[in-house]
Amino acid sequence: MTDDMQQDGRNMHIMPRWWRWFVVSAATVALSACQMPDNVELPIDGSQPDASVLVEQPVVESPTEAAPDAADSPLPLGGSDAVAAGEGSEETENDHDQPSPLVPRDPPGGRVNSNIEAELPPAPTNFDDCPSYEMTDTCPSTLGGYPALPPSAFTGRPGDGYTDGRIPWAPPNIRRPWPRDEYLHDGGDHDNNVHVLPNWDVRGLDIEDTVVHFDTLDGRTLVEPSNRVDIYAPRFASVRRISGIVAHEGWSWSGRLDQPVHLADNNETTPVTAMHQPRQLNAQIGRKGPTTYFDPTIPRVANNEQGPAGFDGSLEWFENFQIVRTGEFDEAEKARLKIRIDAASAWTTKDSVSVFMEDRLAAIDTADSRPQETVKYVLPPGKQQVQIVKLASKKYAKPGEIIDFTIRFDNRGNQVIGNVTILDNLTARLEYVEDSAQCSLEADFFLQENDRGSHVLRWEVIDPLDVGDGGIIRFKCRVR
Amino acid sequence: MLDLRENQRLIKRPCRLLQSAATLGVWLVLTAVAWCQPGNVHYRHNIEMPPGAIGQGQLLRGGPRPGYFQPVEVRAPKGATASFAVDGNFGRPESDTVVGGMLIGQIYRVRVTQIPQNEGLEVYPTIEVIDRLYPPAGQKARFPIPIELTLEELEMALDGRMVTRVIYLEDPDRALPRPEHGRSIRYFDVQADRDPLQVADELGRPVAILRMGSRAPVDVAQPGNNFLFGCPPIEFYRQP
Repeated sequence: MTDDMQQDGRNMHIMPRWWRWFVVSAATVALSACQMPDNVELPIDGSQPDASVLVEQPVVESPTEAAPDAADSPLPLGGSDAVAAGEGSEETENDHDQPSPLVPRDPPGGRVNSNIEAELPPAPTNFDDCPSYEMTDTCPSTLGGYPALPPSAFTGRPGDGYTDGRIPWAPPNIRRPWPRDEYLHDGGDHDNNVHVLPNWDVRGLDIEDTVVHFDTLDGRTLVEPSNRVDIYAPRFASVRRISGIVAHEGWSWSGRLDQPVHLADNNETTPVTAMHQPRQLNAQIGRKGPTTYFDPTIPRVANNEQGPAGFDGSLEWFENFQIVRTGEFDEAEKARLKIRIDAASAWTTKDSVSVFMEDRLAAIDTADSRPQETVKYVLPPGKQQVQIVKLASKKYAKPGEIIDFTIRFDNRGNQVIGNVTILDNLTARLEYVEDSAQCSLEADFFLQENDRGSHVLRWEVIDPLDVGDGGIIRFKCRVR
Repeated sequence: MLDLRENQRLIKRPCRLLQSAATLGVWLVLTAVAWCQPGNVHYRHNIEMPPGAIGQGQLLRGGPRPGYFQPVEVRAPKGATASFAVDGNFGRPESDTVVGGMLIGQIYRVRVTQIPQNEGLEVYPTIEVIDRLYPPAGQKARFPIPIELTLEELEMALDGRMVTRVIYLEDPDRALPRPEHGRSIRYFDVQADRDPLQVADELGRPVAILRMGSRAPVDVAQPGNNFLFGCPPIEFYRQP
């Protein structure tokens, strides 16, 4: 046996070196990955998470090299500490035009309690007077007198929360409107999963969905979602805790003396026992109620068929658009229409069905040039298309206010369609106003309770819809 | 020659042992770190923190929070009057509902007087705004954060109890399908050993904290800077 053979024999009992390093690297990568909290949702596009859901996450520490003032200054614990914080930022205030409104400053003659008119720049009561801020790529130590922000938390120059176009501020790469918890949404197909079974049972109709389904001459049942309408309607609630000073004293005595006799005495006299709130369980019941209260089979039984309601032929002020009157989109109305519907941009000329034919853009003849080529499109038979647009009378509403909704649907294909059914699944905070449903065509209206304590509205148009025909649906909802 | 290879083998053996031990150590350390990762939210803030600490922590997160005046509507019981502090003194009480824009992270003292059935007594609750709203342009003052002071709570404060309310923005996906009635804001009670801030965070987005006890200034005419938490600036709005 040669020396090389002896060496090979020894190496057979150990793992290759590259394998050991691979195992170490894999273990490092796998185990050092951070575990996300359960209730933090990252956006789908992988951008930074919503700051509103990170209320209780660890605060990003301010690095001393980037913001020494912020790192050294203590948090204000009251009036005296707030003064200290204001003094700490005075060095940087002199270098900028705008004083800090965060802390009251000391005037040269001594400290005076200030209000905004005396010490601060003009209050932005009029939004036209609000200063506009530009995004910067770097994070300076101070921003116009405002305290420094850690680089990781810097998302823009502090301001009134609006961009120059008076659009509310939102984190970059986050879908608007933001934040979601301040808006009500209605319309569209949330998960794009609404489908109709052969017996016309609808599956996948989520909360806030609005769709139309119809039958074609070749026996298929197609589904078309509407646009989504966003309404600013924040609603508040509160959590209350009542405590007494006596109870705190009782705990201190028991901790120091450790005498069971004193504990018994304190238990008898402490008012904490009187402050147990049996209604606390309501919070838990309230959260789980919408998913557990209702049997999903109930709506089938509880169908409430309404008689054909009358229809007011005149148009309301918020629905006086060409697309509602005739179903045709007018480019000149795009700006006004965008105020009424969130997804109005989807109905531009580019995306319009009447201009697109078989995924090819139709030639458009302009006034200053003659067409050099004539393209003739032959639309094959059997093309089905339904256009459905939803409008709301208000963009923002407070609890108790009533919102008028209008749905316009049109047969934009080249074939007659039948069994046209429009479905609207209302969110929990929208309550259907009784007897407010109208339809310009003869239709049966059904009202079903959904699993969120609201209703599913369903209109079944009786007659088939010819090519180019359409109808208007109206109903009212009260904001809860 | 064989002696040289034998020496090399003797030298490599401890190195391999050391390598294996290091691998095992890395495994153990990283496994322990992963095991200790909390499975739930670690709440760094709690309601027992000093007034202002939570709001100031929010400011460090960046965004358009610094310098923003968040409208807050304080609703006292009918018949009572509420007023904010301006220039070191409380303004003249005029109505039971007052609206003011407050900075995030500052503490605002409110005076409530003419409490029904308790005339002559006064309560001085504090309000801390810890997050803001993002309303459409021009709608800022129309959607204030509502803070309700019920007669029951005012009497509790007069009796020496401490009332803490955490006002939160409801998550629409978890909203109760019940309409609001009038001026009252829905609330949930928690026991004295629970953190209302944590409960509010589970139900929605906390935006403000109300603390109300029986503390009163020594001199009502000159409440003092410490009692008013520095009397931070406030923004007033015209009533719609």
